[in-house]
Amino acid sequence: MTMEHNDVAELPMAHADQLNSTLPDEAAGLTAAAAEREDLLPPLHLAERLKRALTPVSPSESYRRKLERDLFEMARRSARGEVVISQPSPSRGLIIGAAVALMGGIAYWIHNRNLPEHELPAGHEHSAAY
Amino acid sequence: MEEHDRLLIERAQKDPLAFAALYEMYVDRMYNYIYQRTGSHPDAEDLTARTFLKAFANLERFTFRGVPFSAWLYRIAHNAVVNWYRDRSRHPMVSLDSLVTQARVGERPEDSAQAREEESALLDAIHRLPSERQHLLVLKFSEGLSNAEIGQIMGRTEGAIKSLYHRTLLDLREMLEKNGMDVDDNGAQ
Repeated sequence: MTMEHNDVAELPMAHADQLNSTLPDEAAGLTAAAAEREDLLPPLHLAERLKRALTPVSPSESYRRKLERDLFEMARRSARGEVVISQPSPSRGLIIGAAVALMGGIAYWIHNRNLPEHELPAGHEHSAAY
Repeated sequence: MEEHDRLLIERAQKDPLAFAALYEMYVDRMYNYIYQRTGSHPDAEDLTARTFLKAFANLERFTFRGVPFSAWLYRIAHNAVVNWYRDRSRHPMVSLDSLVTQARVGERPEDSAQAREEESALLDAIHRLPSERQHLLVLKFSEGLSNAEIGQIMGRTEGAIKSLYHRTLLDLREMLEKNGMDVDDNGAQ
């Protein structure tokens, strides 16, 4: 493999793809090719460490079966119409925020309602003024 | 693959019990993705359950519009992880599971200990990256996805994925160097 991937962003990704492939020797070829560019070599070495560190894991068989049973039970009840699966209701914070905003709006409206007309902010004149 | 997914989804949209086939097909991938993002098996179990629950609840709304089902699931899992970080306001701990690795044959114990320490530092640094960058590294290295697949999941072009990957490597290297880790070789023992 020669320096076909001479774009600085292309080579590291081509190298990552080779690390994922079943032909790891090609990744070594790209690393050797990158040796021509001193700035590219350390990122490629780091990628090789990343590949080793992020080794895939699997869930335990007991967990997998338990979650399957739970989902199956939910699906069964859903199919019978016993439960309606829906999105969680809005969070408490959202409800409090909405209530505070509503109260603020009401207070602002009451405040403006009690002001003499000439003290109203621009754009808030009563339509009767026209 | 996409056609196979389409049939399974259409079946599951009509009959909730048919969701089991989708679960069976994707549970390992979602679990691994979430584990790599959180570094904890108990949290991976919790968030995997939430991911499938949400997918099940929203399956009726899923339509193929250029985004495969797997990409849709990864997005749900990613959002679950982002919410997990936000709600707990914490950085994940590197799990003991990831540190307990077998010493390689012929390896001196001190070499193995150093390798574990460096791997731990690397995982810790990965978990300190911005969420999108962790997302990218896990999809690339642990899930082994192509750039096109990652682009579909992240809603970016392949070119943008390549650039983000390169920038992530450079920033990660800088972070590790600041922590005194030598990253100029590949760390292979």
